[in-house]
Amino acid sequence: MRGRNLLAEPAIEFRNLKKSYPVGNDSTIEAVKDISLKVRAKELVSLLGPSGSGKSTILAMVAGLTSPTGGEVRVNGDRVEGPRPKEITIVFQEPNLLPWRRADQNVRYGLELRGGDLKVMDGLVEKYLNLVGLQGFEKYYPSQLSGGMAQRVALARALALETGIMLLDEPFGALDENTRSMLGDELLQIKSITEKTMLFVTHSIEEALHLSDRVLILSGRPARVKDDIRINLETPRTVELRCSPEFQEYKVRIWQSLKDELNENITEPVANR
Amino acid sequence: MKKIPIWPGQVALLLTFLGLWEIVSSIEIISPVLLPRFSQTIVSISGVLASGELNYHLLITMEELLSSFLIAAVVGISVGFLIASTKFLRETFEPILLLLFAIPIAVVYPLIAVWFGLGVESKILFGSIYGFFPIATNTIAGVRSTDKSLMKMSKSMGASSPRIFTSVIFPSATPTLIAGLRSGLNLAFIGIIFGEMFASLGGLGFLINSASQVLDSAKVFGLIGIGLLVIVIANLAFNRLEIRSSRWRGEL
Repeated sequence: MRGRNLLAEPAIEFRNLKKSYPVGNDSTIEAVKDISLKVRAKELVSLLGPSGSGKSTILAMVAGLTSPTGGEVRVNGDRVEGPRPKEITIVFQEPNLLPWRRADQNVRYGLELRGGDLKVMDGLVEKYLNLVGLQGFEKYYPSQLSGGMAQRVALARALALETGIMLLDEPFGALDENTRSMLGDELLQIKSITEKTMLFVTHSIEEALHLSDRVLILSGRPARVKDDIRINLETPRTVELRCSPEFQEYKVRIWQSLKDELNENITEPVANR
Repeated sequence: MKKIPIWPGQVALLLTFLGLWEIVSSIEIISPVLLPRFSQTIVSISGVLASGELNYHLLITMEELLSSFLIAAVVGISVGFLIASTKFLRETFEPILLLLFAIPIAVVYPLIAVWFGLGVESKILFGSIYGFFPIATNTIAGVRSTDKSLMKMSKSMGASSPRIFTSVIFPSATPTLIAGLRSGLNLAFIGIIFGEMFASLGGLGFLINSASQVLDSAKVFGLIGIGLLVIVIANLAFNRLEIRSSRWRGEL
């Protein structure tokens, strides 16, 4: 029944979203300033911005881990008030695996929290461990896995909940360049199979262009949406495509937009004083 | 690569120590009243064992140790988790606990002996107090060492606070908690032996004290050996528990 509405409503909608933090007694830091935007179902949208620009804060508000100080986030038409594990999962930069659980038990974790039939859980665990290419590693502990493999387990854990929306907070940021690009390809493949809406935070232009249908460029603190660029390139974006002039043109355009924010970030604290 | 076994070296070290003891005491550089021969010690302790005297007193000590440890564990773990549950409680009580832990608790034993008498009760209470502090402080430390991002992950998947506790905080704290239980047991044993030596009607400490008052050094040394044996066995049990509970840390 929710499936029908999904097409009509934007999957994620920000309405005048604001977030500020108190610092000391009577001053506040504005992390996010008045963002309004819509993410359609099955879209993969990247939030691209300088470090410390409040990208992760935005994701945390969508995930219901922190509340906005103004405005609201709506998911499938409902206002987000807390975690919604039936609709949204989040993958963090660190795999955040429970070290005392084996790979398969980690993938099971979210399913156990949700409850339900054990046989069904086993099936989902197997399905998604296979999807991320970890068959044969079910019984490994996180301490025995490489960074890339651990992040695959984290991905499988989130996928196993079979939510419509997946948030990714620099999920490949701690990995080396090659692993990163490979996992990017796999993520796109997973997306085409599972048809999820994805909101992806990154500070890498290359990665944003590799994966996204749309790239949103955020300004430095406080974060506003500075540019909203639709990427009209075919998918999957092969290495050849990523070396093409069209891809490079997008890269230059995004870099020019982002560059000013990096400068601003450097001068801002001085200007404040 | 093959691992070199540790135990043969340890056994050799022990045998060397006992051999040196026997040699040094047999040439009587030191008076046998102060340092009896190892062989004499063995003879003496077999006598105490045969007469049933050791059995009787050891049983008292074991009863006191087990009761103290159980009380210290239950109270220490509960209090530890309670104090660690909020920042306010932790900041209020943790410094107090650490301060109390630092004072030599032996000073209160005379009072406890007066209040609770010379029987097992005063020893159980004293041992429990000794064991309580490391267990409570380690429980708090274990909770604090929990990775905050694991808790965030758990929350994002819909876990309630009690569920975050059972599935994230408790398993994270377990290795530190077990280390606390180990020192709790060792300290409870020290407390009990001390209490028995100071004022009691029975137990290993009582026996040591009686023997030393009649200058029966061989018996004193033998009884110390028995005490060591008790604590070594208990610690071996903890070793197994520690290995079992941290298997996930990978090959050590």
